[in-house]
Amino acid sequence: MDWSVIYDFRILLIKGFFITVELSVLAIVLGSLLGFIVSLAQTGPFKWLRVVGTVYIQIFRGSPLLMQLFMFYFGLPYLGQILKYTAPDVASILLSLSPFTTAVLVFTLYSGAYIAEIFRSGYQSIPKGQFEAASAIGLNYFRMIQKVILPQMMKLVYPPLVGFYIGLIKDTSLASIIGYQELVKQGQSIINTTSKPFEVYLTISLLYFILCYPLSRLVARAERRQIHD
Amino acid sequence: MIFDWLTPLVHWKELVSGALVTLGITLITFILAFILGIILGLARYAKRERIINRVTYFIATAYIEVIRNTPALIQIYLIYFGLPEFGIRLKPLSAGILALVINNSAYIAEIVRAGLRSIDKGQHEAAQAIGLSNFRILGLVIFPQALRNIFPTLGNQLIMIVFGTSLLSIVDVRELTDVALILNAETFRTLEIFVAITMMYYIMTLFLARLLSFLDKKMFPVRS
Repeated sequence: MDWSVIYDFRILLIKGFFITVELSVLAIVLGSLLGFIVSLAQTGPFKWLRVVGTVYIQIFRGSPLLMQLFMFYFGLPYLGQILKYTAPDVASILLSLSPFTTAVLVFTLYSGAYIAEIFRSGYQSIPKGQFEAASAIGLNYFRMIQKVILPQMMKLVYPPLVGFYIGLIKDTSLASIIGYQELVKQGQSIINTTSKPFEVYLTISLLYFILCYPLSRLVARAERRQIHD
Repeated sequence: MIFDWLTPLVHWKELVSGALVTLGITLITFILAFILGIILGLARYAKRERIINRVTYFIATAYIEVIRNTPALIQIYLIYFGLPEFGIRLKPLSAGILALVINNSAYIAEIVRAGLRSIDKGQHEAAQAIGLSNFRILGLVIFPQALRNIFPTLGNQLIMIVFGTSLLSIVDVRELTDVALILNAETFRTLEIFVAITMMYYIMTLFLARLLSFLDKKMFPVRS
């Protein structure tokens, strides 16, 4: 085993690490936003909104992430080709998408579906009495959500949500397959030069572990506290 | 809009073969990961005063934490690309299944451990009182009840394995996602093919969910 290659190429690995962090943060933030909005639609009073939301969730929870990445990576330029003469401006955008944009788009849609389910189940775990009491003291819908429902939801939703975030950080490794230069792809460039796949992939695992393990401990502690409540 | 929806239908043989490969890999992976997961889960559950139990607990915990906090893709790469450095050259299918088994065993271990802990102490004490050995207590009293509790979660893990098999398309295993890539390269009918593949995954998970629900009712009619 030759560990000196790790030291020689440490700059590339560190660069890739920060790019992975950037992609993870983007996916987490945008996905949570989308998931929250969709969960509002899912628990709201409008039937057609619920239908649209359910279709979206079933599609993105009912298929593998890698397949979704491929679908968008190959499919969007395909749509661009078809629309080339009927809608040239849209087509030109679709045909010039970078792996970064495609990755962020797919991760947002994928995580939005799962996070919407997490929020929805948290929302539905809140006892009906809370809603009734809130309307009894005269709070309108927004105030009720803001002052009564959301604080309780946040506590309920925290462990599965952070648990999903950990999975999302690991899933960003799939962006390397559609060519985005994050940690795994940088590692593969190093392997192409040095032919030391074991050392490089083991180091990459270590870097992901450093990123994910603290969050795992947070979840474990929060779950233990919930048992005592 | 020029879409040729006949393309996926014309290639139904490849689609069905890909789906069968996916299901086959899923089944093998689940069985092996379940066995390994039970061993690990027991190691995490039985944390008694004897030194050997503390050692197995530590090893199991380290294994589970490492596997759960690193991406499955890297685990596949380590086994398929990394092991040849030490002379171990596995075929793509074997390497893929090994990686999936290792990955899922960690999650199943935690599920098993939670299930074992959910059985209250009284069962264990009563079984001891009627003179059963530790091995029999676990096998005849604790574990069957735990299985009843964790069955839905295990079913969910099975569905996760179905999605995990899609990663094997990278190492050239002819499962459903790989079939999508191949058909896409052959016919260039990207959207039609991927819509068909998405529907196939959806149908597979729906079918598995129904099957699991049926098994659940059959095997565990009463849940306390």
